[in-house]
Amino acid sequence: MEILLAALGPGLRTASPILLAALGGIFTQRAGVFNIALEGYMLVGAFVAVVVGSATGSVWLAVAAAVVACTLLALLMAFVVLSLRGDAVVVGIAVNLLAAGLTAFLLQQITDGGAFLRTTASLPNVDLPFLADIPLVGDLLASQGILVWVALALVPVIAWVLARTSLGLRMRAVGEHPEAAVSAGVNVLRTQYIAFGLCGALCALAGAQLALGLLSLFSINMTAGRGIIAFAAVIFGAAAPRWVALAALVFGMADAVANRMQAVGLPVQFVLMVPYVLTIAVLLIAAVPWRRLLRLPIRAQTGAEA
Amino acid sequence: MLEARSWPLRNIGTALRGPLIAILLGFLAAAVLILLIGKDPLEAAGALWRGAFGTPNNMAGTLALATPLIFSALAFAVAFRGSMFNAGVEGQLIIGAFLSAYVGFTFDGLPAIVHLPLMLAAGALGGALWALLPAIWRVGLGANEIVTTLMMNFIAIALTDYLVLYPFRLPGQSGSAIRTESISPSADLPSLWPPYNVTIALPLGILCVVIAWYVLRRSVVGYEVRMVGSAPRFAKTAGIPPGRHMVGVMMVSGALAGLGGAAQVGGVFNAFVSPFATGLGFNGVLVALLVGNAPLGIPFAAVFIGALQSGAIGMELTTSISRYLVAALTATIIIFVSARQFSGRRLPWQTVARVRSRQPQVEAEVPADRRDT
Repeated sequence: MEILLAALGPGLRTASPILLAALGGIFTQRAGVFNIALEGYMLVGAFVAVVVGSATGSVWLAVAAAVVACTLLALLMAFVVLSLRGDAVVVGIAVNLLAAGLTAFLLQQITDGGAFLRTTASLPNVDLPFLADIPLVGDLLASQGILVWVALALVPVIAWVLARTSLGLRMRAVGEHPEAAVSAGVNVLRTQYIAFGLCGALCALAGAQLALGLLSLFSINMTAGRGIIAFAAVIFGAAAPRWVALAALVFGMADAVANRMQAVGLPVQFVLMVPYVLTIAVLLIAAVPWRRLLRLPIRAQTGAEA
Repeated sequence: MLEARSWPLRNIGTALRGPLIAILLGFLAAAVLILLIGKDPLEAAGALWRGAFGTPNNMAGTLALATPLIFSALAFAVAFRGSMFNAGVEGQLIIGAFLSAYVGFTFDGLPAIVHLPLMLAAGALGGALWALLPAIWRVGLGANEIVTTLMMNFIAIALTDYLVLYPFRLPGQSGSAIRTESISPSADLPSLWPPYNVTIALPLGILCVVIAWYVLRRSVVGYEVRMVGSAPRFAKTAGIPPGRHMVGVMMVSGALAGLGGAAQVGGVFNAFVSPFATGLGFNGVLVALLVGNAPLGIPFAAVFIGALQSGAIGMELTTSISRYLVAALTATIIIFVSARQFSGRRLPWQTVARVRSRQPQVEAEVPADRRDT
C-alpha cells in the first residue's frame, strides 16, 4: 500500500508520456488505422527535442521542433499507408525500426560514438497550490511538469473534438464505415491524413516530456516500449478518451511501482506485464458475446465454439 | 496476378522487380545520408561488403545471423498465407528458446541423437503453445490476433526474464545480460564449419522452407489454407473449416518461431540469455515481407539481411559510420517494398473505400466484425 501511495506522484510523471502518445493514438485509431508507430514517433520527438534543446538552449524551440519533425514523420507514414496503401502494421514496424536506427545513427555521429546526449533545457514545473491541501497525496500532486497538466487538460478537449466537432464526426465516420463516409461526401484520405498529423504532434509532446521533462537526455532507444504501451492503452480504452486516459495512468503507475520494487529487490516482471495482460483481458471480455450468453445460455455455448 | 508475384518460381522476373527496386532506393537513401555527414558512400559500401563476406569469419557471421531469420521469417509467412497476421513471432521464439534451453540443461547424460531432437521439439512446442492462445482467442471470440500476438511478445519477455533472474538463476552473475546454466554438450547443435557457429540449424531451416513451400503449394491442406487466407467466403462455401485451419496455421507458425529460438540456444548462446532476442522476430517479419511472404525467397532475403547486419559491424570498425545506419536502411527498404507490395496497379488518388474492400485482413478494427471471416 505504501509502495502504491508513494508511486502516485512519480506515477503521474511516468504516465504522462504514455498518456500523451495514447491521446495521439486515439485519432488514428478512430480514423480506422492500427498505428503501432507511436513508439517511433515518440523516439524521434525525444531525439529532436534533445538535439535542438542542447543546440539552442531553448526548451520551447526544442518542443516546437519536435512537433514539426514528428508531424512530418507521421504524414510520411500516412502517405505510404494511405496513398501508396502499405499495410499499416507492417509500415508501423518499419517506422519503429527506422526511428530507432536513424536516431541512434545520428546520435553516434553527433557524439562521436557516444550512447547519450545531455541537455540543460528542461520543461518547467507548474505549481497548483490548491492541490497541496488534499490529504495524503497533495504534496505529490502539487508540483508537476507543464506537459503533465497539458496532457490531463487534453483528455476532455479531445473527447469534445471527437464528439462535437465536424472533424471528430468525420473521423469517426471514416473509421467505422468508410464507404458510408464516402457516400456522405467526406474526404476519407484528407480526414485520415489529419488524424495522422495530430497523432504525430501529440507523440512529439510525449517524446519531449520523456526527454526534457523526466530525464534531460536522449539515449539510444530510450522509449523502450512506452509507445507500445500507449497503443495498448488505446486498445484498452476502445479509443474513448476517458478510458484511454485511465488506462495510460494505470499503466504508467505500474511502471512507477515497478521502479520502486526494483529499488528494494522485489521481482518486477509481473508488474511490467500488467499493461499487456490487462489489454488482452479487456479485449477478450469485450469479445465475449455476453448478451447472447445471458439470454440463451444453451445455444450461446454452441455459438461460442463456432 | 498476386499468385504470380508471390511464387517466384512461376515468374522470377516480376517477383524480383519490386524488392530489387526497393533495395536500390534504400541504398540510395543511405548513400545520401552518408554524403550528408561528410563520408564516402563507396568506401562505406566496400567496408560493408568486406564485413559481410570479406573473410571466412565474416562470411560465417553472416550465415549465423541469417539462420534464425529464416525460421522467424518462415513463421510469419506461413501464418500470413493462412490469413493470420502473426505479430508475435518474437515472443514465440523467446518462449521456444527458453523451453529448449530448459530441456538442454535439465536432461543430462542423454545421447546426442536423442537429446538434440528433444531440445528442438521443446522449442517448437513452446512456440506453438504461445501462438495457440491468440489463435484460439481469434477463432473462438474474434479477438484481433494482431493486437493479442503483439502483446504476447512483451509478456514472453517479462516472463522469461523472471524465470532467468529467479527460479533458474545462476549464482554469481551480474550485469545486463543474465544467463541460465549452459546446456549439456549433447544438446549442442553440431557446427557444419568448425570453428564457426554455422550449425545444422541452417540446412534445417532451408528444409523447413522447402517443406512449407511444398505443403502450401502442392497439398490439399495447403490449398485449403491458402483459400482460407485469400478467399475466406469461397472457402466457407466450399466447406473448408476456417477456424481449424487458422488455429493449425498459427501453431505451425509458432512452432517454426520456437525452432528458431532453439537454434539460437543450441547454436549460439548454449544457454538461455535474457534479454534474448532483441529484434529477431521483428527482423524475421521484415525478411518475409521483402520477398512477399514467398517461402522459397526467404533464405535469400535472410542472407541479405544477415549480411547487412554482419557487414555493419565491419563498416563501423573501419569507417566509423555507426552500425545503426543499417537498421535505418533495412526499415527504408521495407517501407518501399510494402508500398509497392500492397498497392498493386491502383493509383494513389483512387478512393480508400474501394481499396479497403480488397483488404479485409487489414481493415478490421472491431474484433466482433471478424467472427465470420
